[in-house]
Amino acid sequence: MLDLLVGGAHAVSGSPHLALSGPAMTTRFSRRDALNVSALGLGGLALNGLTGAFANAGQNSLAPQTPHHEPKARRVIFLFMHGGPSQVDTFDHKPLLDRDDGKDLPFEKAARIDATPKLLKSPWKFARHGECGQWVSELLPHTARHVDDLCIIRSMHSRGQSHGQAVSMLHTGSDNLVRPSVGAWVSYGLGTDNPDLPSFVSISPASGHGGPRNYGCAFLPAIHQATTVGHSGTLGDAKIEYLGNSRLSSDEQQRQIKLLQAMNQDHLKRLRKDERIEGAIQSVDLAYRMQNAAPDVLDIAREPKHVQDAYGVGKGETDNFGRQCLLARRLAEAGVRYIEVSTGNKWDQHGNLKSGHQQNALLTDQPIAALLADLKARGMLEDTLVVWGGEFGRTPIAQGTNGRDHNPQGFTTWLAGGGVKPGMAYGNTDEYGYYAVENRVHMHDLHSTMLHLLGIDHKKLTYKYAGRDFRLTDIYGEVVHDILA
Amino acid sequence: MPTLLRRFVLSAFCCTLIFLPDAAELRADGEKIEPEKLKFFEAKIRPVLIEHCYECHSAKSKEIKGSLLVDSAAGLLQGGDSGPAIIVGKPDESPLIEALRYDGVEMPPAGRLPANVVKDFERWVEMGAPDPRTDSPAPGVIKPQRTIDLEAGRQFWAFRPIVDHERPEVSDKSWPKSDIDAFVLQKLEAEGLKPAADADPRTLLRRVYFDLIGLPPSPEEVAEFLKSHQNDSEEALRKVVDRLLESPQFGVHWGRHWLDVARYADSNGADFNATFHNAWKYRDYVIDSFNRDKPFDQFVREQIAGDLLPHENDEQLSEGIVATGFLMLGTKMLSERDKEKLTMDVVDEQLNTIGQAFMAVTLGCARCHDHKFDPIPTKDYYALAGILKSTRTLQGESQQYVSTWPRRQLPAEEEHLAAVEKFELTKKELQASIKNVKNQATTLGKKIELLRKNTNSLLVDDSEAKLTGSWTKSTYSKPFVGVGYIHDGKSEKGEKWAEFTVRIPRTAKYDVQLAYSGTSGRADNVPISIKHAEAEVEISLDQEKKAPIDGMFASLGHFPFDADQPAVITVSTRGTVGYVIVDAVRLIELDEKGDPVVDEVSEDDEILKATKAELKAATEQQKQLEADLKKLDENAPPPLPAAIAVAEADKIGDCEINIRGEHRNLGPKAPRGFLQVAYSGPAPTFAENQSGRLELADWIASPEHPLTARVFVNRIWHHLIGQGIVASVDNFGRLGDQPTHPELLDRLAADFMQDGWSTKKMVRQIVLSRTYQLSSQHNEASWNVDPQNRLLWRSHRRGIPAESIRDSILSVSGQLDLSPDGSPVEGLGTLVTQNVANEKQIERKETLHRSVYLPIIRSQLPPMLAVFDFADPDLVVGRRPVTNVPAQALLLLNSPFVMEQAELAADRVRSSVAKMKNDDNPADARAIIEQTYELVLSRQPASPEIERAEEFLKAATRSDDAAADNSKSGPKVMSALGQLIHTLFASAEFRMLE
Repeated sequence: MLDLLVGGAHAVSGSPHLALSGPAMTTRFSRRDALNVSALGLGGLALNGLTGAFANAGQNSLAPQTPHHEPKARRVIFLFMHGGPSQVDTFDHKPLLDRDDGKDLPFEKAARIDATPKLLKSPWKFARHGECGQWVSELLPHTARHVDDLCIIRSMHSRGQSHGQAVSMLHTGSDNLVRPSVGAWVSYGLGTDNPDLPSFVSISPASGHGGPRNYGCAFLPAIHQATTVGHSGTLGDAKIEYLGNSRLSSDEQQRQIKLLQAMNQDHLKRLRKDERIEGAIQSVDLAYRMQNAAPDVLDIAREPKHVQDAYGVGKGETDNFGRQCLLARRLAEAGVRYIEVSTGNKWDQHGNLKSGHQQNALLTDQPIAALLADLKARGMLEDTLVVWGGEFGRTPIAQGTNGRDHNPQGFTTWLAGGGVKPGMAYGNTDEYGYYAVENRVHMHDLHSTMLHLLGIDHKKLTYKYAGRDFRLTDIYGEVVHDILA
Repeated sequence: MPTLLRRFVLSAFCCTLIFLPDAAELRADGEKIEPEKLKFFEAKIRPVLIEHCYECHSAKSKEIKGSLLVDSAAGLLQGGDSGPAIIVGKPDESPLIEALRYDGVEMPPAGRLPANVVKDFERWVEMGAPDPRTDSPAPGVIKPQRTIDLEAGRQFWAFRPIVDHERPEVSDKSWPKSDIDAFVLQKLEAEGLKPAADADPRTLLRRVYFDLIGLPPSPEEVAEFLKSHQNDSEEALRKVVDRLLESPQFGVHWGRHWLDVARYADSNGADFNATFHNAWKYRDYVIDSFNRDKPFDQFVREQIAGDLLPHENDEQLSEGIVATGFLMLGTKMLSERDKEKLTMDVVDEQLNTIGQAFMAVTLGCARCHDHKFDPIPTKDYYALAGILKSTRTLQGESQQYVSTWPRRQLPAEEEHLAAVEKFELTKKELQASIKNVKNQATTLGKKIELLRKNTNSLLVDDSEAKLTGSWTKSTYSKPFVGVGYIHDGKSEKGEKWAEFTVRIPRTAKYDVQLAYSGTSGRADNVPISIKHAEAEVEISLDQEKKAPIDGMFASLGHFPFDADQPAVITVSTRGTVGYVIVDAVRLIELDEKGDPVVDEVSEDDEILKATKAELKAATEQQKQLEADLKKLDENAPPPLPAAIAVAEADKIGDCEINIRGEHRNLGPKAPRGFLQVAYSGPAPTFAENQSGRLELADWIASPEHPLTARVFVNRIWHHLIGQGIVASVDNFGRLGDQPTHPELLDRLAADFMQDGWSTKKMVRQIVLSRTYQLSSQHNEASWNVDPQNRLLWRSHRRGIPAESIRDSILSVSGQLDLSPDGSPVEGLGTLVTQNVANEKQIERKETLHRSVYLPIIRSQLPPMLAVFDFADPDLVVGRRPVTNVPAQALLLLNSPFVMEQAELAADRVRSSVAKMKNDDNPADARAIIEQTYELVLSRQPASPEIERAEEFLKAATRSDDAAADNSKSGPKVMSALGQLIHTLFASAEFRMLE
């Protein structure tokens, strides 16, 4: 067992021997030569993320680590529905809500919210889908076709009545304190399969509601923080400064780097022994290789047209999120451990529920379904855990006449692949879809279950900081064994 | 499977027992329980406990959660971490019932039990909790309470009193230049190690410059030092050190060290990234304090209680208020809706910061339970928390649910105050006048519209009605006539009425209408009397219904009126219950058939003409007033100075212990106080009606405090030597590092206090030691014994901080502006980043000032700083992490800023060589290369370096020409020399101190 339990302060120095390349990619990646997916393509990565995203010459802690137990999932794709999609309009079918539309909720609503007590039925019809016969509303027709692959948790609950707290809770397991994000913990716990890529990539993360804190490493070594591509729900052209040179030709830069490395080597010779300079030499090498590697993981254009079409790339509504999902798959395939895809804060329909949710579904439903199908077709769904969900759900009671308020008291998250039971629903909210009441799954429980699927015991993955051992789930979290395949 | 009271709990991971009352006498006894009560227990209670609770709360549980057993009567009465689970006879006070109700704690965690089951438990507790289960908890099942032994705790090195150790004896008496050296040499000799040679003067000078002011020496300064160093090396160094200590750049560099610890930022970060518009005043306060060599104990006092300290003048008071920004700068979840929770989270952040910054103790651990490793009981945490809870850090809301903070006004000149007061008053008056005249214009406009539409419609607005009793103006329900309507507030029914008098131009029949906004909650029987030509009638109007005509008017009936007799319509509130709404009365002339009479609209109509004239006058007046307001704003006096600073809270007092850190699970109050392990003497007393910050500050800044001086001299040592005597500079606890030279640490702390807590004297003392001046040269033999160089057989090599990398580049290019800069966030709004999808990224203020003046916006740190291990402003960072990642190389190699500065530096080198050679176009590559090395690295290049650089320049020049030939490639090419300097900027040597 590697030093999973030991942690350690920020390393000041480290191993002089760094495996700069090493064919440590997944076998799947290696087999997919046809795709010509480069290990190094990074056009479009935000620099902040690069800070720690690559093998650190000081401490190569992205090296693969031995899990605590046999993992079912090797990587995670988290589809973050920022803003909070409504459970009673998507996966949590409540006939009583239909029947009692307009009546007062027969029990207390949650404290500190603005919704009236009046029940508001879903504007969308539900139907049973797939062989498993799970309910999905007509809002998500594409996802509905994959319901036999989904494990729908209808009894999620979390902390944080406002977005900031709930988003933080979802990402870091704390609604108030500065803590590492799930992806950073996973990177710390497992390292990466591909040393030339970051272990944790966040695609189009929001800059609000905590911003980088939601994909940051807090006190974990900087190497575990996410590399970002795009921002605020928009992938954009995925171009970024510092990864190319605006003034020097590649010949000029090559000559310059040769000189630079000669200077650094001289310096090292003069000092005889210095890990810092050794590290600097290696990171210049790695940086230059990254910059030069032409075929690009990020280059979605390399995908065949039918694949792009399936994701809705190039089609008005679905283009942006389709490209994000397709990029997620390419990153997963190339060996990135934890990938988050964000919609931007779009799902927050305090009003305009009907048009707002309709639009959001239009933007995301097809790409998500395509991602599931694509992963499955490539045999990757088996060991890729896909997680779909928001920071909370929405109230079954109305805010205004056509809106719903925040609801961390009960909501739906679905998982797919990576060792979860497919085609099932777990847990229940009350008869109106408000509070999680049966087989409740707290956010800490979801986190511990995700780690469990990745082969990590959430109680053993700790890091010592400021005088004590920290873990993702603090002192909480129970693995939801009933949903494990 | 469901588990009772899981959330009470805490796995063994992080929790110890807090309150364990004496075990209660076993009260249950099968004989004494009345049969029907027993039956109730057996039927309703026992099965539920077994099914839902035993898994985690019985002697047979794998892991007993929350130290609570519910499988015996005694277990329930004795309770667990939260105290007794039931209070016999009092369901509302019983934690078990609260948990079943999901009130704060939620049990069983898998789902709330049905309401009737919860009722059963309430009834059961009410009837005395009859319980025949007599098994007492098995011995050893529940862990005994761990108590903290404070006396033993005081024996830990960090809590022992500081001892002023004598200079130790060493064998090599000639080596030490100072007492510091003797302490260091003693340890080296004990391990058989020899100190390295002294650093060469160039290396030493560069080290001193970066360590004291964060900048490289200029070539002239190097030359001067080398000259004087030959004559008297010690005197030469002393002179440089004294000069640098007096430089304002000393405060810039050392102030930034403290800003790391103070987690300084210009915005809140977290959920609502609100701009801290005045934080920069705290930044400047810190820089200024180091420049003035403010005694550190005073610096401590000001930051905790500056606003409460006695002051001699306004300037001192200002300084004191600004200093408390220290307590304000933490990142906060401002949108937390549970404000009690937010308050305790803020207190926690402040305590963590105070603990680590001044005392290097990790207080946060004691929020939920006694500290597991250090002698800090939870009680001490809440004793301190009481002080900060009595301090106001949050005040008001910037929008619903989102807290904001106090902006404290700073003392200002009388004249300034008067000017602002006058300005605000005038502005308020002007704004009121504008609003007034705008309303008037709106009414007039509507009136004109109505006049044109039907000159025979006679409209009287509520503003023209004669009102009896008090009516409330409103604009809540739209639409309405004029600028609003009035309602009776559902009060003093029958004592209020509104009388409308309408002049009748022509004898005819009229349709009488009332305008009101109808909806539920209004009166459904409003009595309205109408005095017409023949009689006075009263009708009843249902205002719950929407008005049928245009959603505004309802007809009250058709009545005859005479030209010389005005119509009088009176709306009363008599006999009503709901709101009575009165907006306007309208009379529409009817023809014989009962249809409205529509006249040709005549612009010559007198009333219309008069109204139009009135409107024109009102519009002009409005324009004038708006111009006045604009002028007033343009000439506004500067805003009164304000600071982001704490104040005393409205409520002063002790804080209840939050059991397991749960703010809704309150234990007894902890009297305000300090850390017992670091305090001896009678219980502290606190000034009445004050938070206690003053006393807290005095305690921390006291020479008796075992930690404060030790922690700060250790920070100085860390920055100068490269590794603290205690390497974990923010944690002196049991899990921190042990001191490598404990006697030296104490001696330095003692010296520090004797020297009046002077930072500059301590810096001087260390820099002038021989230990500081050692070479960093590697030595295999010493390395084998002490590879980490903990005993200081050589100087630690170090990277220069991110700020120094940027500042050095600017310094080399000659672009650095050494003057202070003001607010880095001027022009930013309430929020730095909006919480919306597709938001834009902010434009960061560009500046050539030193990096300390760059905007430190949480979540959007300047990339140059972030990449080079800048201190994360969300945390207290006494020791920055050291990373070596490709992003650093990428930034240096590709940043347009770095390339531009390299090109500017090249110009500088060329012109300096030209001046030296008295030649406009010097072709002397060698001179240029030498000058370049001198400017960028403060040293001369070796011959192979010159050769290599010459070769590079030649090759790069050829491509220069090629680029010039091929001008299509764009104008932004770099000169050969620019490329060389750019390469040096990217070299490891440039950002390293040897």
